[in-house]
Amino acid sequence: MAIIICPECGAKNALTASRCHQCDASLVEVEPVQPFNFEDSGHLPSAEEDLPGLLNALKNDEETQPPAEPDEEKTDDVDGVSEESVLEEDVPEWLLRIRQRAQEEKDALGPITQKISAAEASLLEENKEMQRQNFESWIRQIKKEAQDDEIDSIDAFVEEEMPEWLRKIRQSRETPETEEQEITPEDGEQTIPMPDWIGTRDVEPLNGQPKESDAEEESSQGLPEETIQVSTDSAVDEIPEEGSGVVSDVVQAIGPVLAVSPEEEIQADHLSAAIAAESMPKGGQEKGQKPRQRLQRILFNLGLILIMVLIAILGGRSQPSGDSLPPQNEAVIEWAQDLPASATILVVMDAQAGFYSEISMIAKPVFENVANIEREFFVLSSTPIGNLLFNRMINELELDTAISAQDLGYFPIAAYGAFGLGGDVSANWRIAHLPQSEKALPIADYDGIMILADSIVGAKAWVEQLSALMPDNQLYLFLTAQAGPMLLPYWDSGQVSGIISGISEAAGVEAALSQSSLIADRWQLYQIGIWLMLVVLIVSPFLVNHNGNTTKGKGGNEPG
Amino acid sequence: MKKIIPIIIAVLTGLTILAGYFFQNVLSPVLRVILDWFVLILGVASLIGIAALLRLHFNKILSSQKGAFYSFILILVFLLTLIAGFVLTLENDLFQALILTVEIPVEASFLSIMAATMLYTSLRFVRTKGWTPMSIGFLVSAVASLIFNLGYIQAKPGTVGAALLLFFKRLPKVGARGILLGMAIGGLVMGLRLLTTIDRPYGE
Amino acid sequence: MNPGDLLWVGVGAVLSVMILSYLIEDNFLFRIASHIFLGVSAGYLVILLAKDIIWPLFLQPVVFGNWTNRLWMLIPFVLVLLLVLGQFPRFTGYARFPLAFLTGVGAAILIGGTVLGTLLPQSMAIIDLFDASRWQAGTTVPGLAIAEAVVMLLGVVGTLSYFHFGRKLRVRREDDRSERPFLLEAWGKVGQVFIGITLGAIFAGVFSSALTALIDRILDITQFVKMLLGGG
Repeated sequence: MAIIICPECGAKNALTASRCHQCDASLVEVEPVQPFNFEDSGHLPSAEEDLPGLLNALKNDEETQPPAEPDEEKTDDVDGVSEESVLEEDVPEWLLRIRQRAQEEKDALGPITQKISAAEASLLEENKEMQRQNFESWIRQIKKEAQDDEIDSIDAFVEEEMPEWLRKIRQSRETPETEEQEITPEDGEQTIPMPDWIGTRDVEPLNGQPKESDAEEESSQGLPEETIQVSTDSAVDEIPEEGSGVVSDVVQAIGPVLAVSPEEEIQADHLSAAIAAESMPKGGQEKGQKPRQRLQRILFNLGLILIMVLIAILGGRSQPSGDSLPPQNEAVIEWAQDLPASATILVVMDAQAGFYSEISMIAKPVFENVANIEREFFVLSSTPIGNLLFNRMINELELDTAISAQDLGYFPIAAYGAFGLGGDVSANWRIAHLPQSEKALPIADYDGIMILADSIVGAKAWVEQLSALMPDNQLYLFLTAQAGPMLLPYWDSGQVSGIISGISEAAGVEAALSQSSLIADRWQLYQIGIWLMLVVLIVSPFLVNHNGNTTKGKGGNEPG
Repeated sequence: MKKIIPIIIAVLTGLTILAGYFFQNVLSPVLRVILDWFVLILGVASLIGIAALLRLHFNKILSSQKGAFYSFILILVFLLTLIAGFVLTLENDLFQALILTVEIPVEASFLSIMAATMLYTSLRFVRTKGWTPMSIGFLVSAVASLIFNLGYIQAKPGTVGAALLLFFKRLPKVGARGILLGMAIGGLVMGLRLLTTIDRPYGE
Repeated sequence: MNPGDLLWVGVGAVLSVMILSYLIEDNFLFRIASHIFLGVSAGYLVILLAKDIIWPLFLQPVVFGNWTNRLWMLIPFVLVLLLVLGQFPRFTGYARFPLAFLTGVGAAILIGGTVLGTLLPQSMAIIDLFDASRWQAGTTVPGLAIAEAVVMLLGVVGTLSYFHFGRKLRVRREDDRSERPFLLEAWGKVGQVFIGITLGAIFAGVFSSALTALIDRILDITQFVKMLLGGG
């Protein structure tokens, strides 16, 4: 009975349904599909099985039936597959969904699905000769990919890791005299050797289970002792055993052949496409990384560290120039120099410990100018370590006189601390008997709010809330280089009165304020590091990949 | 009833906070209460998270799983820090030095690893991303920003060169503004969905 | 050289080397240092939360307040209790109430911040760029100011065009794809360039920050070695 697959959620709906029962999407113009009934087509794998029927048939060596009679209508497919392994369920739901979606939203398909659809379309549409050629080229491609993978341990695999069902096939090949095992090719049927990848490759099943576990499971579902015959009813006339080097190798490697139906062939192609995609290298995976690449990476890292250490030991100090400052830096300098003697300054620490070095280099020149005994400082942290970092920074300044800094405490999550600060104004009423919070923020108009932040998110939250709730207060951002570019629009819009971001801007501010240079020790190393990255970026387009091809773009694959 | 109460709580508190943006003077006592309780619940949630972490490592030790030794170190150091903190208090210079002596080098070292990794993986940038408008813009901008960071390119203030230099230095601001607006729109939509209970992360 | 300074610098240098050893390979030294860091961070956070949040916001009013104060504190107490109970599988549902509270507050702050803190001001800033009076002041080249305004408008609209804010339309026919108007699509391509430019600048910034941290570690380690060798 036909069903309708919902194009939105993939749920199955009755033929008469006008709306999806699951997501309520309209099904008015959706074409019904016939669920693929495995019972009608013969011996096909269960939807529950992770492996396609082909592999399951290969493993099912204990329960498969003897080779079927030629006059059986439904046994032009896999012979020797037991009736018990005939599956009673429909086409896998995932396959139905893929097909449905492929018909309707081709541009939504991923590469694997596109490959599957393309393979399916090509097989259905081409004639027998084309199908045979496709099959041959498929085998050739898999073999070529396997050869490119430089698998040296094929022999070891064959000897040590050969699945039980394969061993039995080979053993049965070695004893062809047994009647039950003997192949009797029928008229009009051609034998097709077992694909190379089944016999000699460590192919990982799609369900991710290791082949070893499959081998263990095969003890109860092994291949039959007798030989299995592979045939196709519509496709291959004749695969020359000698003409095709690939095929002849396979024939010699593994004698027994399998009977495969067109549907199983399609599923086998799906599997090969999925395996090919799975075998492609993925970024960031340590497992499977070649030793040569690993060695390259280690040598690269060690070389980098060595260069930096040598320059640190041998190199001297260098003064970065600070002739032209961007206007957002000049605004900070102007504020620091024009601050009244008894100013009230709020310092918001939104930086992690790892960025302390950079933040302190950026903020210290300004702190040296603004910190004096007459000015009142309030310190608020939206990171756990914020207050400790502020104390260390002040201690390292070695001021002549200690400054007065009141700790307002820790507020997890910047936005809520900012809202609490900005939303706390004096009201004409109080809630009766509500205990006064010891954590109350002092209500004050500050002469400046210095926000020391290492990330875009935290600084943005502070700027958003404070500019909305305390628009009269001036905000000055002291940011690490990674946060600077994204927060520049807030300076442009006037929400922020000044920004210093990164070492290079801090160097200019330091030079302008005529302070002792904290950055000079690091400037040369910093320049070396920047030069290294520049070289890498400029050279990278000209690098070749492992296959000797020049880099080629994928183009148009961005998300969104 | 059980389903309605969380919805009422979420909507009421949300609307009160929203109103607080416009009626600060009137609502500040209520806002103060809500925020205090909010911070308190967040703090307790953080403690629950730490407890879960410790339980995970404790179970590792008890069941002698792989990595139990490291879990033992973690719990031992945690307990020592806890004891030191309660004995010495947070304001103590020695305790602060202890904390910072561990936190700063370790976090900075993690960042250092990132620097080396970025250098190495940038070798494969174009191979991975290919030539697209975005990747070309990315590459050119990264190179330009790094060159600007070197500090070699300077211009006398008030000249056309300085204005041009500033123009190019501020080009990233264009995309940044677009991204900020996009993020704001997305955040607004998400906030509205939460307040109108279309999305209920606290469960049905 | 102060032995105390040597100790602090030494501990920092040793921990740095242990973490940096990951550049060669994941090893037990790296794991030990990571777990030490986790332990210290967790311990410190517990103390900070207890001192800065639990005590002033909850325990202190309960211990030192009067009975009416304590009655008020019942509400947060119940919320906290429900949150803790919700961690046990049998009482998972009870955590809905404090989570709803958190959600409501969070959503409102998110809306308020994005609208009042970003959407409105940033949109006004784009409009202000086309204010003719600004073109004459503040820059030596008015043409550049005009160019900047035009580039800003094109770039921001292009960037927003690049993002999809709606759900994909249901495709009924093969030729009825989810294609947007050509102008929007073209503008989105322009937006891609500007996004790439911004991301490139951010990439340079991230590398710059990470490089600064690396330099800081290298200098710390070399300083420690010098101190050990008696240089100081």
